[in-house]
Amino acid sequence: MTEAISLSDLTKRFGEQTALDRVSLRIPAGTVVGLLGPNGAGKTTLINCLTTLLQPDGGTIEVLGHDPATDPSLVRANIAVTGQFAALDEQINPRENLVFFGRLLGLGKGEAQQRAGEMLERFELGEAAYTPVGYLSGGMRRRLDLAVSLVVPRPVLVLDEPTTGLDPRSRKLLWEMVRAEAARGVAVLLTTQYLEEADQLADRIVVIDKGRVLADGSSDQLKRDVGGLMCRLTLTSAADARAALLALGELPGVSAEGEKVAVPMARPEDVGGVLGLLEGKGLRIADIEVTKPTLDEVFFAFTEPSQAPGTSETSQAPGNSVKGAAR
Amino acid sequence: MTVQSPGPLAPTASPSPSPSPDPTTLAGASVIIAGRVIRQFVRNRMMLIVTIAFPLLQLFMLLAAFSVLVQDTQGVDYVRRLAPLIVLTTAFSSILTTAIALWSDIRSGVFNRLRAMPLDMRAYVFGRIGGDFVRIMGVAVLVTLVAHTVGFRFSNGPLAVLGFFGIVALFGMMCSALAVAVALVAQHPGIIVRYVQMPTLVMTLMSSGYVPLEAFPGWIQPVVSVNPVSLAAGALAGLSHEGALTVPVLGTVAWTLGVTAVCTVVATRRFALLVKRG
Repeated sequence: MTEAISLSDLTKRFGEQTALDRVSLRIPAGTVVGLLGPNGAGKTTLINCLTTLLQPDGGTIEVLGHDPATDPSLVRANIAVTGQFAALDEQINPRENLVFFGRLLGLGKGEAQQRAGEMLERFELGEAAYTPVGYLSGGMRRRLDLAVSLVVPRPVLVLDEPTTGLDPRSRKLLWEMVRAEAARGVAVLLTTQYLEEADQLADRIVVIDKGRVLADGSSDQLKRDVGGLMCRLTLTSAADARAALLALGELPGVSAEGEKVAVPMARPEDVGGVLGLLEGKGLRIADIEVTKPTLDEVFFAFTEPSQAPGTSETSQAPGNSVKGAAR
Repeated sequence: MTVQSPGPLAPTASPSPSPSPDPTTLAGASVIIAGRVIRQFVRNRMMLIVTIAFPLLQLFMLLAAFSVLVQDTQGVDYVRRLAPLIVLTTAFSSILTTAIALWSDIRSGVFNRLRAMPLDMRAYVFGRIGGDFVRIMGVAVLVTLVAHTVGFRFSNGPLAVLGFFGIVALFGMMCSALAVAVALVAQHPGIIVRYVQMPTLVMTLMSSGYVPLEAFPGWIQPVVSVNPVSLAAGALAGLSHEGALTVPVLGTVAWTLGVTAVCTVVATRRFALLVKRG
C-alpha cells in the first residue's frame, strides 16, 4: 500500500536561499504528522509544494501515488488544504461559503446545502450561519476555514498553522476535528509553532529548521533522544537548595535556582541515590518531580545548535542542562 | 443548471481517493463563480451605492439643473441625451469596484484555495466576467426603467431597443476586460484607483454625452468626437430616439472590440503566470 503522502529529497530554492533542503517525509493514512519549526523554517514552502501551489526544484512528491508535477488535478482532488490565512469570501455568509466551495468540488445544489448545514453544526457555527464572514471573530473564521476544507471529505488533510491566534475553545474544537479526521483514516499534515499542539495532536513530529529535517519521531522518542530524565527538587529554603547543590556537586549538570534544584538523570532508579545524598545532609524535601524533558526543551535542543556560533545559548547541548529553555 | 459530480459522493463515509480529477466542468464552475460575483454585488452596500445610487442621483440632479437650459438651446428633451450617458457611467464606475474586488480576491487566500482545488482556473475569469456582465446589464435595465419615469422613451421600435442594449453590452464587456486587466497588472489597489478613477471621469466629462459637441471649444472637438464615451452615448441616443447611427455605432464597436482584445491578451498572460506561481 502506498503512503498517503511521500516526499523524498524535496528541495526548493528562492534565489540564493534554500527553503527546503532534501526533505523526506512519509505519512500513512490515519496518521497525524506535526511539522514543527520556527518562522522561516520552510513549513509553508513544504505545504505549498505538496499542494501544487509551488513547483519544487528537486526531489519527488507523491500523494496517494500521484505526482503533482504530472497529475496536479489528481493531487488537488485528494488534498483538502487550510492555509495559514483564512481563505474565505468575506462578503458572503458562512453557509454560502460552504455551498460555494462544496459546489465547486462537485456537490449538487441540494447536496451542498445539506452538507453546509452539517458542517455549520459540527463546527458550532450555526448561530453565525447568516452573518457575513467579514463580521465574524478570528476563531469563527478559522473554524469556518477548516469546515470549508472538509466540506467534501478527501483522504489527505493539510493544515498550515491552524490554531495560530485562536481562543482556547476554538483551538480545542479544531483539535477534536483533526483527531476525528485521522480516526476516519485521513492522513493529516499540520504545521505548528506550538509545541503543545504537536504534542497533543501528532502521532509523529518532524522538527525542521532552515529547510532541513532535524528530527523525526514520536513525541516520546524525541524527548528520549534529547536526554533521559530530569529530577526537579524543591527544598524548604534557598539556603537548603545551595547546601543540596554542594551535596550533589559530583553529579554532572546539577543546577539550583531559588529553592529549586534540577538534577539530570539517566534512569529513574537514580533518584534513590540523589535522595540518599540529601538525607545524609539532613536536608528536607518539600516536593520532588521526575519528568521527561518538555517538548519546548526538545525543540530548543534540536534547533539551537544549528544557529550561528556565538549566541549565548549554544552551550546548551541535548541531554545536558535545560536551563533557559523554560517557557 | 446542473453540475454532476463524477461519482456518488457519500459525505459521511470515510474518504476514498477521488477517481476523477475535475469534479466540475469548466462551464459549470464558471456559472458557480458568476453566481458568487452577483451575490457579492447584491450584498455589498458600497458597490450598490457607487454603481446604482450615484448614477441615478446624477441623473436627477443634472436633469433638474440643465434640462431647461439645454431644451432652450437645442430644442430637445435633455433626458434623451442624459439617460444614455448615465447608463454608460454605471458600466464605467463598475471598472473600479470590479478591479478592486478582483485584486483583493487574488491577494486573499481565496485564490490560493481555488488553485489548490481540482478546478480549471479559467473558470475563475469566465465566472468573474460573466457575473459582471449580468450585473452591468441588470443595472443598465434598472437605470433605463428609472429614466423612463422622468421622460426617457424608446421611439424606434423593438429592434432599436435590442441595439441599444447591444451597445451597452459591448461597452460593459470593454469595462469588464479593462477591470480584469488592471486588477491583474496592478501591484497595489492605489494604482487601480489612480489609473481608473481619473481617466474614466475625464472621459465622461470630455464626451458629447452631457453637452453637445458644438459646446466644446473648437480645438478640443476632435478629441471629444473620437472619445468612446461620446461614440457610445451617440449610438445610444440615436437608437433610442434620433441622431446619426453609422459613425457612433461603428466607432463604438471598434473601440470596445479593440480595448477588449488588448486587455484579454494582457490579462491572459498575467493570469497564466498567477495560476502557475501564485
